[in-house]
Amino acid sequence: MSTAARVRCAPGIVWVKDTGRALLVDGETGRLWALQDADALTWELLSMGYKYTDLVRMLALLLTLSEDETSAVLDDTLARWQAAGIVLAAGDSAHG
Amino acid sequence: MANLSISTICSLNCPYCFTADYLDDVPDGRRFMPLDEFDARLDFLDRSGIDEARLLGGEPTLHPDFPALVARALDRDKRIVVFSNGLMPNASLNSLADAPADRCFVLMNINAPADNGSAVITRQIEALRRLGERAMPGFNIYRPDFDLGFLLDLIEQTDCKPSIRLGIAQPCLSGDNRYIHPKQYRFIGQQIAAFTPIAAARGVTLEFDCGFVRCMFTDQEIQTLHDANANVGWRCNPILDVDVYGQVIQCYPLSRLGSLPLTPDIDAPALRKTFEARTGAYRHAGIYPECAICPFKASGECSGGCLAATIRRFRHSPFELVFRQESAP
Amino acid sequence: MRNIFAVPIRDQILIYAPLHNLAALVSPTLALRLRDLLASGEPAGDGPLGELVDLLRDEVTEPAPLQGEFVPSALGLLPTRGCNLACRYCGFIASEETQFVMSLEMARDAVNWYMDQVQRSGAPHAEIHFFGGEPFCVEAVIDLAVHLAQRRAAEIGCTLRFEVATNGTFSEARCYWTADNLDTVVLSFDGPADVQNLHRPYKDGSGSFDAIARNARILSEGANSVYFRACITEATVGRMPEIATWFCQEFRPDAVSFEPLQPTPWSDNAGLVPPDPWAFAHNFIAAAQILEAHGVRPVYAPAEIGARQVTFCPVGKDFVIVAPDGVLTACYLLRGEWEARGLDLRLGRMNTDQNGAVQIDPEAVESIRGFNVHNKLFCAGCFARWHCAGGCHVNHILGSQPGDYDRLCIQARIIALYNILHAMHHDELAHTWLQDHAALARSVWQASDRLADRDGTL
Repeated sequence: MSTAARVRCAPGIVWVKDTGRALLVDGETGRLWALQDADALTWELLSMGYKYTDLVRMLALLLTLSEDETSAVLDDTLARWQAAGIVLAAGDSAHG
Repeated sequence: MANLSISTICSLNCPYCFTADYLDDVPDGRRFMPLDEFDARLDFLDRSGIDEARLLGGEPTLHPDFPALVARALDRDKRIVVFSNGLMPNASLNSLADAPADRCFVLMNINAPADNGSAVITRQIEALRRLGERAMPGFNIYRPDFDLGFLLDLIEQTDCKPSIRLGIAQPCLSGDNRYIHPKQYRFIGQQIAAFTPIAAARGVTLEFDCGFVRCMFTDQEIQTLHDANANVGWRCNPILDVDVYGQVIQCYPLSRLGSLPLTPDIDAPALRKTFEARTGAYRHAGIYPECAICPFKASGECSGGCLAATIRRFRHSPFELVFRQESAP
Repeated sequence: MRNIFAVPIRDQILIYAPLHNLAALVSPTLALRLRDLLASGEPAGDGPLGELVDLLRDEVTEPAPLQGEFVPSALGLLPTRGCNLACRYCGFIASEETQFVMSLEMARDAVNWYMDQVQRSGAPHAEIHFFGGEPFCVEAVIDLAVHLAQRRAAEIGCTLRFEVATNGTFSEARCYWTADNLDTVVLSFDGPADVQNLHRPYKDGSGSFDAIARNARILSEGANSVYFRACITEATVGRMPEIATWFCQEFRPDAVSFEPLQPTPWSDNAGLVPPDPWAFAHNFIAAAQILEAHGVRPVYAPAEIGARQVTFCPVGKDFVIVAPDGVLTACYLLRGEWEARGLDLRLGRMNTDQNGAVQIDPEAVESIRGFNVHNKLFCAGCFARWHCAGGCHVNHILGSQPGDYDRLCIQARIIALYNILHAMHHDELAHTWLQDHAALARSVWQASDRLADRDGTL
């Protein structure tokens, strides 16, 4: 069974694309993250409003992974970011 | 250093004024710092180890008790520094002209004659002439088509300090004022470099305000600036501004990042530390994407430009993503 | 001597030798003496004339058409020919080619093929351009191509540049992405609201001004280069200085390119008429001065005197453009446009059923390399031949007799001459010349500019 979860960008997070990185700052706490490579790519695509399936397809083409592998990588990335407070859970809805 | 703002009003309405956000946000009512609060401001300078009373506004010389403020600051052994547009009431002008020359300095910001008209520049020339070596002109570059030539004539006419303080108009966080965008810096840099030897030939040197960046000049142009004894720097050191209500902001363009109250026990280093904790993360970026890999920024030789311009590059992306999570059946 | 030109500028002669990087203003007598000395090979002696002769006797190499192995100089991607606007002068909306949309796999294969070619050739630089229709109608193709090319370039160790030609009506988020990722954004922006909304409405007839103005402001704040491309008609030609001022006050473009309307059946139907070329040139120059004072580069591409080229556009430069249906072409115009002129500008095709294999047709490459100014005899005597190179191979129909100049030639010749005089710091002379209608006409209508062709009346 899988559950659908919803995440959104934490409201205090602002970011900029620099040469070779995406630099994220939490405007409230002053915390800083410098994302690179696949993380920076994922963040950029998220910021463009990609839906999950489109995001997986795009990342799979770019990272030359299967869509299943990409999905696992993406879920792991989102979990890390949720733990760090970069993204927040935005209400769950279960389906089987 | 810290600046004491003693007036929220000004006799000019310069389009680049970096107090735009602050004046939009500040509650109505208080036009001037009350005279009886000035001693507390000077106490703050004392406990912060600051020996200059840097007065600004609005236009600080419009404060009705300006001569008294100058006298009090001098009594407390402060050197007076005034940031003025030069349109001073006589009493204010007299108080500065009578102050010891080694303890009084006026930076007079002067716009191009076409911007303010001949009546304004005539009064500015009169004020510079009265103040002589106590004053020097400053010029804020806020559009790419600027001409500094008139300032050389003005310096010769007035016998003021033969220097020009150059500023690049920087954005408030809202971007509502007129400012030079970093992509225009190179064009500005070329013009400054071309003007520097012309100024030097007439005995005038240039001083750079904060917000300049190294890469707006070529190495050859930097050599030209050095050869002409220009006082160059690529820094952004927000100087605390204490407003007329006794609230401290990191610097006017950053006023929307919030303020701290000037309590009787706090000093400038502590305030600066608090502000730096709020904004330090942004310092990892600069005004250009390439600042991230610039050796001059990495070494600290260049700050990467104005912090307000840097912060304006950041944005929030309000995305939302529905994704699946595996869970036990 | 075939690349030494002499153009009358009032009572002086402009000696212009672009391949020698030389321009000089001399008297008519001196110009004739110069011609005779160069023709005869006699010693010219010391002094300024001798120095000029020595410089002009230096051997120069004419720009040559590409030869040998095909190495793509750049990749163009056409994500779609479709567009969300219905510009009054544009024929794309009526084309059947708008039905095709590039797949992500095709974009991936095209980029991989191109980057493989870059790696194989050892080129230090790669370049990808996006054209349309409106390329951002298929955003995912652009995202994929950009991010994939960035990764490949990092692996190869080459530099990479992206350019897009867009109508600029995308979302705010896409606009920020564009500012972050694309080096040059060429924004079709015709001017203030009344002009933009008249020329460039959405398909439902509503105006596009608000969206493009918002995005032009965002792009102005970015670190990338923003070029505004403004189409000028008979009705707006007199407003060019006003438009230039407005662009500079409201936005921060790096360059503004003014392009006279290329008439189409659709522009005719809309009552839009090309500007008078003389008025266009005058107003371009007035606008250029305003732009330059603001640090903005004015562009009229055929008169760019820095160019030394045999062809004006991607055609003939081994530039490969991938159409949404997998056809590789040398030209970004609609296929129907060049086919209607009897031209075949196809370079090959991508076989999507064979893992994206790219087939370049060597005969087509040779044929397309033949589209160059060496084969445009009409241009042989023009001082601007290495700059404008005869203009568009599809739409610029050259005259049949020397001196049979059309609108493009007239405006290109005036503006190029102004640019040369401006570069020589002879601005005062340039302005007097521009106001002297008879002198201007003498400069423009000269059938051959070659110094060797000048007779005793020079």
